[in-house]
Amino acid sequence: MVYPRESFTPPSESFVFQVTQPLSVALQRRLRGIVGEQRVITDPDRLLVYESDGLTAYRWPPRAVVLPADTREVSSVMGILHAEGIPMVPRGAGTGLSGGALAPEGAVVIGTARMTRILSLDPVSRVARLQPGVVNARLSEAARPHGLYYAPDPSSQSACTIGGNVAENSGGPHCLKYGVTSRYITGLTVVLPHGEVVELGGAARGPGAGYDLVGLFVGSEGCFGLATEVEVRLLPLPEGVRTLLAIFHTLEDAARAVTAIVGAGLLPAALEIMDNSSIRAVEASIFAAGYPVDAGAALVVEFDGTEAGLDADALRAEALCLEEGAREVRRATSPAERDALWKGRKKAFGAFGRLAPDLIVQDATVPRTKLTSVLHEIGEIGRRHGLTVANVFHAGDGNLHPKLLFDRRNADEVARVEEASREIMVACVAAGGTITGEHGVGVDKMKYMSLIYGEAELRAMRQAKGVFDPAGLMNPGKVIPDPEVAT
Amino acid sequence: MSAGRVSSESVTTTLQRLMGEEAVVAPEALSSWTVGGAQPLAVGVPSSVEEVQALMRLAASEGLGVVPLGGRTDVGCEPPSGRFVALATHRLGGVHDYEPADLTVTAGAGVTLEALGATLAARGQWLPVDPPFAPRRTLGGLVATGAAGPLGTAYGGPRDHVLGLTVVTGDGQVLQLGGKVMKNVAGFDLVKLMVGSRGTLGVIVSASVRLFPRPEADRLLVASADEPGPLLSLALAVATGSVVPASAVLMSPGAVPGVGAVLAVRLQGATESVSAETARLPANGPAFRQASPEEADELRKRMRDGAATQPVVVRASSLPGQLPELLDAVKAALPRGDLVVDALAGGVRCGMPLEGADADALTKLRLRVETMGGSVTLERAPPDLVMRVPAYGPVGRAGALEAELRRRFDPGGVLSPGRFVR
Repeated sequence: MVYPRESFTPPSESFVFQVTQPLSVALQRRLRGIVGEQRVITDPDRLLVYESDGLTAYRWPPRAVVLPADTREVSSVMGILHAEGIPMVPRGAGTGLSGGALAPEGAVVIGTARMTRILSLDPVSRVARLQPGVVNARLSEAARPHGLYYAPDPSSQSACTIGGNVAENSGGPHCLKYGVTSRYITGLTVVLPHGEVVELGGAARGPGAGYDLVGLFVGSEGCFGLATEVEVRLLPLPEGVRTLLAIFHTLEDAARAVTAIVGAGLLPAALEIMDNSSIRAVEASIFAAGYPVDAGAALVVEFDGTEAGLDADALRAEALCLEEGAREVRRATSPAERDALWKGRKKAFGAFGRLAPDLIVQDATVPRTKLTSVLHEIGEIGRRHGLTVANVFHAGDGNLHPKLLFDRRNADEVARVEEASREIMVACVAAGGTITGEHGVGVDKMKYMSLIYGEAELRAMRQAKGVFDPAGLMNPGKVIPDPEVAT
Repeated sequence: MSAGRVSSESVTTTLQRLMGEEAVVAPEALSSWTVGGAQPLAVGVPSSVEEVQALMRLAASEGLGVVPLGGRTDVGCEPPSGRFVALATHRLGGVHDYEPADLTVTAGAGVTLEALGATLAARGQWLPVDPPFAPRRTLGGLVATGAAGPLGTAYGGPRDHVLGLTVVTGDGQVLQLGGKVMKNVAGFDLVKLMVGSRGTLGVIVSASVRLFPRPEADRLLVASADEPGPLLSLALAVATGSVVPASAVLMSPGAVPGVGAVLAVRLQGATESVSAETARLPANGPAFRQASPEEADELRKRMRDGAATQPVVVRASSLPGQLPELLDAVKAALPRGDLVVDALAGGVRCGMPLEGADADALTKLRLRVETMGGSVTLERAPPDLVMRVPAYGPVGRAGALEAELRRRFDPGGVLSPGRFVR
């Protein structure tokens, strides 16, 4: 979550802008010798770009930023930094929402901005190999001429990189049917913190030849090493798509409709809900999509697959929505209409900008059947703290994204936001859920880890990190709280 | 350590004292619990997490290994190093928590997939996996082997389905990993590390998995020929076509007795879409016909178990596009093998009688497939063959990471010593 600078005191107190100790001239020269003169950034003004990720209120400027071009350069750079005992932070597009790409005190950021090549694309075996800086949406564009696409599509897909997706095990609106990033990553070339290059997995090797190190690495949030090549599995483009927008009087009705659709044995590609606050925000913004502002909730239902059968699925879903009290169901019959139905959902995030100066996007998952009660509870928490909470979320897999609006200049409001966020996490965990479904732990959620894990599990996670990063230099101070903090 | 001294009888007696009279397998039955040809000192049958912990501590204190066993359908062929106790999971049963509307279930490791499947089918749901002998396989065994079967490309495998695990580590600690929800990125993904770790990192006590609605239609289309050759290009056309089958398996005549070579394509989904997909299957080979319900049942079994019933079973993996080369290599090295080819995944399972497996030919095959980027694994083989041809191929630099993970998770070397990751 986002804390304004005034209220947040990280352990190192390094969020205040100051470059503690610039890299020595000799070290800079060595790094420039590897990546090129312009690709080691040390100028404080230029480092400002790298002081935050998608959580813009955390500001931790790095000591330097290095931009290598390939595995060999990454290996050399990391080997040198490791030998110097300098912490390293991998960074893709910086769209992360948990502070995972922030540079702890004294750390050097290794950016993937120059590693943007798609190295191979095999349409027969449906695998592609690419560098980590390739933007998610670009991969699907490259695959499209072959009738293929890359399934995981986080909302930031026009900006976020595959390397970042690997680090966060990113989700998106289509996970109910298609699963998350880890399902589509078949192999990795990884540079370990001391510069060693290892090959993990590989689609040709198949599963079962050893531990699933690819699965362990995906979602490790930059704490194990830096993936310099990523092998992904592509899927054939679905032949057809049907999209519905159902308008409900209440949020509870919409949540019940989701349960009814899934309970009926339908497997939509997406099930997305917006609550009244979100609808009003969108309709009052330049992204107005024609959603009725008095509606309690809007539900987007999407089916994809073989053309034949899609209409039947859509009709059944429509009937179930109406049974659960939908007051209106709109159907998209053309791509333009589909875009229109999705528009409000996809632009909701941007639309909140005009409602309040600051916004926290929370992220938690609950069992789908607990959606109604948890949403009710989140509403209560917001009211109790006098806060506006808006909900736009992936209802199909129970992945909630409550958005808390506030003004960081109001210290009292900030304190209430912090407390409400904690209560939301506690409520989700109490309902059998978890503290993050797709945004990761980063620095932001470490304080909640002990809600779901005991010391034994946290110790096991530290052990796993220790295997990849014995010196503790890879994205330190992230994900797993220190033992004394965890208790 | 007292390794080598403690007797089979005393271990059995101690297990009974810790877990009750019924918590052991009778001494005369131990010979049916061998692992890679080695007989355990005793077989403990715990019925709770606490009993699993007690067994682990006993083994650690006596210097014995522990090999967890589920349905014993996919035990692997490596013998444990040193004396060991088998931990049978069949009393760790029970479907603990099934919420159909959440599409999730939590069940004990010892539940067979057949029993679990029956519970799920009653609510119109299923866990879409079909590794060899799936009905007898336990949930814990499914997780431990990570084997998906031919449905794995379309639906994902155990690594994708498992949401959370309760495991007991080598030093007797209980870990609650993951959770019960569809999306969870809280902390490092130790669930993925456990899936497919073959009893070397922890004993799986229970698992939460995600489920799928049962498809309205489940149709099997069959093309036959005397030999697999003419069916291979058809199989590749299916694998690269616009229709996405649930599975597509090419079988040599030996794997489907009396039928000849068969390409079986399984289509699932709404009846209307399955019919449309049937019409769109490729036609660059022998024509597809729809299998009768009885024939389809039998063929689905063969797609799952075919070749795996033989005394020697070898699995070779590559990319789908490399299948012609892979099959050439396998046929040249193991001419007597029955072949079951997963066309979507690009892998082949080859089963043969003992005399059909030549160690030198296997070694050469492994070298050739490794140069293609693939892998060769011995799934079943007699001890003398495993001595000459390691069950698993070379692991490269990642092997050092695997070995270190194992050392940290099981510092006492209690779990499945000498097996799998070295």
